[in-house]
Amino acid sequence: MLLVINLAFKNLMGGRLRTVLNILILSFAFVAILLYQGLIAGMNDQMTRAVIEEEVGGGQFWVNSYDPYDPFKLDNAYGPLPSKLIAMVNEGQAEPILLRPATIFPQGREQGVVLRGINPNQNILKMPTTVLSSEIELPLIIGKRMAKSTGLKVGDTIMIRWRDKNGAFDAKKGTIVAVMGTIVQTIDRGQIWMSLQDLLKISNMEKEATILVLKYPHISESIENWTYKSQKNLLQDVKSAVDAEKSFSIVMNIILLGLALIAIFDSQMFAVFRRRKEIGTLIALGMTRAKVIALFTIEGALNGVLAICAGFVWGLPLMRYMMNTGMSVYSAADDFGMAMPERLYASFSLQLILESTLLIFLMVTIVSYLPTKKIAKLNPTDAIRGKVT
Amino acid sequence: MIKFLLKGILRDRSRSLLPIIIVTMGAFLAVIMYTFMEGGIGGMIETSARFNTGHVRIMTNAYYKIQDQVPNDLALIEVSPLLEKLQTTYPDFRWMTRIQFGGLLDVPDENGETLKQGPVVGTAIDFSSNVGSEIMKIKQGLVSGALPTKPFEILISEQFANKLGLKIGDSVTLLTSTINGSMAFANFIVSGFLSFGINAMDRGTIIADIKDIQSVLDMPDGASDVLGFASNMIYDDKKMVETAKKFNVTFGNAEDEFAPIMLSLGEQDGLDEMLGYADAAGSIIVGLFVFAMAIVLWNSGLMGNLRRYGEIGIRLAMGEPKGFIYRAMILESCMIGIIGSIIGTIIGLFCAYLLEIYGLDYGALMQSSTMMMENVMRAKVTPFAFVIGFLPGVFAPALGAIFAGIGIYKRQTASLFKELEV
Amino acid sequence: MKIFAQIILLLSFCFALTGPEILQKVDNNFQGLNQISESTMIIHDLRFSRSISAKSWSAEKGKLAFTEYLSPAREKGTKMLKIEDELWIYSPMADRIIKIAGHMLKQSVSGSDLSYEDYLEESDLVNNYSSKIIREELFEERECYVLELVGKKEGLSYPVQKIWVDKERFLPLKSEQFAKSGELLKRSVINEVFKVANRWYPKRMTYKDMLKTGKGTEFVVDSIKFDQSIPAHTFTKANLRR
Repeated sequence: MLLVINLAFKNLMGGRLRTVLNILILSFAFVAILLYQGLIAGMNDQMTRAVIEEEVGGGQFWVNSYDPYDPFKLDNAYGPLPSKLIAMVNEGQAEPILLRPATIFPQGREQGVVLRGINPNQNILKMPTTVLSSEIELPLIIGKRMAKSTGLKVGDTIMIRWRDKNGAFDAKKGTIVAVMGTIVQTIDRGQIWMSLQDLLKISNMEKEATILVLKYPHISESIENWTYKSQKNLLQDVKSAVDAEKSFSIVMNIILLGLALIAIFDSQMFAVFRRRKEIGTLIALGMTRAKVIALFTIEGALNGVLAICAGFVWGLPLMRYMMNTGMSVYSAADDFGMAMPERLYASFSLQLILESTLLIFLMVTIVSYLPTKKIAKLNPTDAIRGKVT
Repeated sequence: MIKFLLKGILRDRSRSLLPIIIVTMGAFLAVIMYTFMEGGIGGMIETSARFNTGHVRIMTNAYYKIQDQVPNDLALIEVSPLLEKLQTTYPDFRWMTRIQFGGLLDVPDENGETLKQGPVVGTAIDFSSNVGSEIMKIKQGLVSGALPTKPFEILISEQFANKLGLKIGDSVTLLTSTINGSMAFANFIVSGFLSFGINAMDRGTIIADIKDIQSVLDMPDGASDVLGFASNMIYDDKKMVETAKKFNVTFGNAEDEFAPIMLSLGEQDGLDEMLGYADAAGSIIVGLFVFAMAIVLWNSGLMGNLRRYGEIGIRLAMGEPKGFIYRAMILESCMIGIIGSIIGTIIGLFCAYLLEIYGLDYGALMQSSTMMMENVMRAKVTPFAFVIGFLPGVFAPALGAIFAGIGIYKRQTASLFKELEV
Repeated sequence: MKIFAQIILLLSFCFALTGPEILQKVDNNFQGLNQISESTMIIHDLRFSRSISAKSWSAEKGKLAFTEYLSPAREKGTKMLKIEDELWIYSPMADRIIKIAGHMLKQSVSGSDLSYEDYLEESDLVNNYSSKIIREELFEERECYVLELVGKKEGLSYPVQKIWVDKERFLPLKSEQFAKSGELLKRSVINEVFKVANRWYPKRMTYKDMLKTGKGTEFVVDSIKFDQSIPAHTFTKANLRR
């Protein structure tokens, strides 16, 4: 077998321009597939990370009366935390968030919003909540989309009106102390963030909450009237967006691979034709047909191997660039509710690289084998004389 | 000579079949790649246009400033004269009036008391003119029932209808606000169920006739906005920007908050970035691919002609001039390229057309999404798709033949002849 | 003489009205056993102004109320029934009775500056608020007591109010509703008064949501009768459909 591999390698090197071209095309397809998959993986990573870091944490508990898709139920979507969950909060393993409906009056027009109260010193969600400890009377954080739709910016004040737990109206002017650039729309559009203590106070509540965000993914059952929502469950939207992209990428991969395999197939066909005398001679000298087929197949497969190596050589800097610098993507997907980052950074895991490598290698080997099947039917005496049968 | 070469190609399949197959595959892939990219990226633009922005969108200045809030009290009024002007001034556009609204859908029990209720988002279009229903592809999305034909009939997203336990023919009450802020109630009969293929809409959307909603919302001859579409439904940014500019000069008035303003898709909410990205990314990807395909086909052309050195040797020995053979080879390669490209383009366009109509459905994967993404990936056949296969399909093999033919000039006739070895 | 003046002054202090007493007189003006009124609400939108006329029946100091819209044609036949803190609306367009609860109460009444929550708010000032006179002031050329009202119980929409009460007629010529924080939320001003059945009553008043831009909402009382015979079935859901 070693002889066959050695021979195959020498033959390949003898091919010069044709070999170089085949390797170039294959490596282009390989790197293109890798890059595209890397971008998808990167997109998945970024979106997942953003949603986990900024919204979902390690999972959540929701008070039973809370339905994120029914804003009309928000009035009553609060409740005291059970002792078990309070213990988790005290240990720093969870943070409560209270949601209350309110109204703001940007430019004198009424607009419904949701007030979200969170502990300014929390370290579970990646948000600039420490600014909520400001000396200013009612410091507020809004997202950039909210800022855009209301025309508010840092330093602006906005009148907020709400009803406390007992139904009494209250109103106060809050000051925007930060506008956060988040890609997670659900914590941005129509949301105003404030200190949990402030919100509890103005709502005339003591220890109520609507959501409890966990620090780590936690396999748990629901507790009393708090329903457990796993991180996986809460990431469903992100998964769906990535799955959509994956479907697109499968077609892209097929097209790119098709491109590369045409080259190999044609090259192999040519090789079998061109070297028929050599094939006939080898068979006449005693090499089995199987070995001859193996020789040509390995030659074709070696194209794949060399292409992969070449791909790594010129592809690695490109991959590194995509990992570090990324590429900008349109943000109009934003309008469709997707948590799309403005800049996509590729992510290349070992699994991804191995899978792509294996895929190329396998496909090239199979396509290299197909044209060599005709060697099995070749008559060696005719072949030596250059006849094509 | 062409006739002779063509006969040779058609009769001697042993030498022409493989190159034609290779070129066919190359052209096919180029067409699929291009139409798929157009479909994928264009799909995003199309979804945005059909359900949100139109190719151009007309609303009042005041509405535009806070459009996120869907402020119907700032909506367009006296839309019919505006529509007439639009149809006269821009006859190559399709215009769609629309009202967007929200509220609660209340399902009564046998006593008329509330049985179930759910928040709903609605769009009202003019069903009598078909423009709206065609643009929003409502017929395609109809799962059961029929489009509204009588007053106060609505279509509901199937998912939402199932959640509320509704059947075709059931009566529901819409609780909403008029443009003046009054509460309004109206009964509707469910005439059909829709599947939008866009999960955010499937969660709780109704489609109603605009006349019904105008009466419910107390906005006679009013509309939230008017969407305009190029008649071929293909977005041309330059044209739309120009159209919007002209409209605003003629009909707009920046001083009047209730005067209409027209915006192209690209001018709305950062979508110009999307267009730029889509253009650039698509061009780069397709360009790279076509280049790579061209190399493959060039290589194939090169090899296809290299294997004919023996034949060329005989022809030279028989007295055919080198130049004549060289030109014949190139011409033959072109013809193979043309034949392969035609077949590849036909097959590619056929597949692309099927993808355009039926698409690749990954909807099953998207169960509880809130994203406005169509669940079906489609290709898009554009005029350029008819020619893109020919770029690598004809020129690349010809180039291969040009390079391979250099051997005719460089090598001795005898050594070429020897290739045959018969 | 000096002593006589001092005695008169001392006597006047003894007989000076207290905040609760003034409030009681105000309540007495507004309430009888019951009342039947016809009124017009003029709403000033951004673009247009609209008038809605209605006929109302109320009893038990406003705890029970029934309103039927008379015009314009679009609103005609719409009815509202208030029983304590519950509210139902009948829409002739839908031929349905819908209970207005929760989030829906925040909606404005026919697009006015008054919300359904405001409509449900009890008008019994004496029982709901403790009051004190903070000063006396001239308002629209009328001598007024300025009273500060602080809610006696939880659940009142406006925990703090200020009213300018006409000293002679005991009508709240101006009233301001405040949030717990002291932020001014709503203001109503009586622009015109008339006398009916030995009492003074507002003829025209303006109600304004102070957080919104706009001209507010005007209420004109076309006619009002007190202590009429109102059948009990008036304040039932069945009456909404009649």
